[in-house]
Amino acid sequence: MELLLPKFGLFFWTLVIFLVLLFLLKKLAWRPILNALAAREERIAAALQKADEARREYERLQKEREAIMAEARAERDALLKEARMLKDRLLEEAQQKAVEKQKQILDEARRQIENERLNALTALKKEVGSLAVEMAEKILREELKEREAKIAHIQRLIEQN
Amino acid sequence: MRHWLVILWALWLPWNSMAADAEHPHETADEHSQEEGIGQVIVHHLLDDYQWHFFSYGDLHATLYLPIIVYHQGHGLKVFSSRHLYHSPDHTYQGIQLHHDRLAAADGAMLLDFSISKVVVGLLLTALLLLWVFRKVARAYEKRLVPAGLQSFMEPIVLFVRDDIAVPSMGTDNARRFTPLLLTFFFFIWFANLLGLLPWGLNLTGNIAVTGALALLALIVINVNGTKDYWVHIFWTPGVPWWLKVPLPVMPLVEFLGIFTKPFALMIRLFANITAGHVLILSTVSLIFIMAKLHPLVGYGTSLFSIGLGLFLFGLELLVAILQAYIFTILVAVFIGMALETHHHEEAH
Repeated sequence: MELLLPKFGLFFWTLVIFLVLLFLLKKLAWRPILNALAAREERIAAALQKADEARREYERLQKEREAIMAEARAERDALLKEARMLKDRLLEEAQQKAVEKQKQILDEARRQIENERLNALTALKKEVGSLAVEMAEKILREELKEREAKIAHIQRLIEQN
Repeated sequence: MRHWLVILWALWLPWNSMAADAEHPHETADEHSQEEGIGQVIVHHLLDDYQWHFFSYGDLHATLYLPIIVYHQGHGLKVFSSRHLYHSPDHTYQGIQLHHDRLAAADGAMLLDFSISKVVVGLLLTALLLLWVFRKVARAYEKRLVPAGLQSFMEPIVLFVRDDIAVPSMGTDNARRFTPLLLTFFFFIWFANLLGLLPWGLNLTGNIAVTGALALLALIVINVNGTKDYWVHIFWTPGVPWWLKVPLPVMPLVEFLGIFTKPFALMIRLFANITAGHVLILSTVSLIFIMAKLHPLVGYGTSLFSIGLGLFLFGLELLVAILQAYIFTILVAVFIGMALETHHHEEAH
């Protein structure tokens, strides 16, 4: 039966001890511990948020970098293409020029040959002309001689007769 | 190492009381009174005492006599060592008589007993242990936020009380106010339960004065924080037909009684659980001595059984120690939460 009858003194001391303990623990332990835990939770939350932000920033930079890279690549391609075109054009131009030059040279040569030929032909013509005249002269002279001889012959004949 | 400690506890706990029993040879005169004696030994162990008896070996009694502080009406305050009481043949000194576990004035005058009894010493030890442990944990947080050692053992429990007891019962804002109180309830009860399991014959939370004081504090905290809605709910319970309130205030009476039955249940629950555990372990080991009366060999045989069962019960008591601390704390939290509640839709009740 004593078990179920609370002793006043013990009741009193339990109250005193518990209240003093509550006061001391609250001041010395619970507040510092709970504050530290809250501070840590805040820190973790902040760190997580920061990490998230950093990740997003990294992703943004990554995207930016990719864009820049793509742009650079495009520019490079364009430059290369242009250079190739330039090269092609230059080559073509050079070729064209060479062909033209060649043609010019050929034309010149041909003209010269033509000139030479014409000159030669003229000279030949002149030669042939003079030859012909000479021959005609000779022939005429011969003929004339013959005519004169004939006339003279005739006359002699006439005379004789 | 720890397992051996548990076994040592289990073995030593009852031996203390048995040794105390040996001091009273008249109680072991025959088999019948032996059994009665064991019953008394168990009750004696559960009760408070004015001395702290550790062990006896032959004529050597390792006993700490504790101070008696009483207010004797008409005689004023009296302070003396309990040694005088125990060494006096009729357990009386300076007109103060020791009867079972409590003091009375021999002349029948009113007596207020403020003695530092065994349970008070145990409570002081609990308080000092708590202060030491949690001051250490609090200091650790100044050095590092990542827990280590004792800090990492206590932190989950502290967080459990905050996040799984306080916050769900009363919301985050109120929880901030009441978490220190709930933590103190939880750890004080838990540590007191554990100290009660140590093999030095303490029974702190198995004492109805101790649990009664804790329950009274709970009652005060709950009702001091009661909102208008809380009192309206008690004296004019909404959602109940009017004829249950007027002219015969049946519901208000029931609700009003509820103010007291809740803490009363807290008191009885903790007391009964811890007492039952102590009785179970003590009975199991006492069985050895009852059986040994038949034949010493039977006693040895029974000891195997008793130690096994005792170990199991001891493990169970370790579990009960934290479980009861949890139940007490969560119920206080829930009751405070109910008192703090403000109803916006009273018709819904």
